[in-house]
Amino acid sequence: MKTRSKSKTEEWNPYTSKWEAAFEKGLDLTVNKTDNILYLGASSGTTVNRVSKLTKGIIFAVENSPQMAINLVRLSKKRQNIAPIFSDARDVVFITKALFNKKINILFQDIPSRDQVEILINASKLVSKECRIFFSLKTQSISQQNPKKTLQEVMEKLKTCFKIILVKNLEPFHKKHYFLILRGS
Amino acid sequence: MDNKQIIQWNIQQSKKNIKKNILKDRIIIFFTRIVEDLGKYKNPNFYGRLKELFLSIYPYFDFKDTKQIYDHFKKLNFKSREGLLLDKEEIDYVKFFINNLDSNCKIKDRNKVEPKIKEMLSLLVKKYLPNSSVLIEPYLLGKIISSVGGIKNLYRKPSSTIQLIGAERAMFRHISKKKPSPKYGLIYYSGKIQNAKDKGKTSRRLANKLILGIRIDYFQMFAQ
Repeated sequence: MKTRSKSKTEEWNPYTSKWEAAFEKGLDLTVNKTDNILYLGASSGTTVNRVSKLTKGIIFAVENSPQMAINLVRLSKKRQNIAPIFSDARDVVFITKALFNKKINILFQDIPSRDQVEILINASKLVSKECRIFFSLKTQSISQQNPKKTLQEVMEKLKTCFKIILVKNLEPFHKKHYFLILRGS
Repeated sequence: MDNKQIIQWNIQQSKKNIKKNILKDRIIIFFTRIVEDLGKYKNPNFYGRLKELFLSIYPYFDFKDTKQIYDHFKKLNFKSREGLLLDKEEIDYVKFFINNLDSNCKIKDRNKVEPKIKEMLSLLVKKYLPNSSVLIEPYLLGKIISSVGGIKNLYRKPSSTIQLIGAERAMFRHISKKKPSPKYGLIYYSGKIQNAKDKGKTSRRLANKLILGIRIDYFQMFAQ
């Protein structure tokens, strides 16, 4: 519940946001002006705030923890195009109800938990095949072994459902994190 | 539907669901932290604690200066639609605490007020956790809840974790440097372990009983 200074929330910073770190690494993350974005794992909404300036479509921000979700609802008063959804990201039934059949162009997932991949596969039912999927992977939360090994295991799981376009590690900004760009197949 | 209507629907729905998730354990945590502060410091001020409580009652309220909080509480009528709803008794407890503060948020007459706050805390814990407060002192139970961050985090934990809450440093030292393992955390200060001969065994027994009581209390009193 700290009141942050303005520069911290408004400016892009690769050390606090995985989206920006991937952008700094040279990945193609262009957002069109009318895109609708589904953002799983929004937390208190630092990245959501920054991304919301890029589009005129809606950003659906899903968050599970009540204290963080309060911050999100507060943020939605400031920015006109954020729709906060207080629910578990595994609960697909509730999220489909909240989306009102809006077509989603970008799906971003950043939930550092053990069943991170299963959540993404489950959530891909919500979007169409043309949707671009950005996936930030924290290898340490899945297993304590060598991160390259876990990445291979994750890739094999993902290959059954998606087409993998690009993989890159976010090394100087976030340790043992990977960023993947996927597309439904 | 229109874009604006969708956003409005989502905001209202999530406000409704957040309200269900703000539980009554916040008022227990509030009073335990006050007792803790009084034990630690000579003459502490309570701006931060009051702000915590205010924001759990009115979560979407914006105020510019933290020092206004004292004035806000004086005008408050405790009827919020978006946050925590308090009983008549609890409102009296909070009002009693606020009336004994001066304008710098420090307690006026400490010798009178401190034992009353402790009594209020034990009454609150016995009201909401009737089963587990039999096994352990109410103040200790409140301390365990506040150190984890809420009853919802506590009831999911195994009993061996309950045994070692408060001894995290010793536990990690045991894992990394292979030093001897800790046998008790915060539970150590309960009367049952203080009087026991074999303290390691009794702490394990107490933690096993305690987690059963906490789970019963959670599903009886807190879960909806």
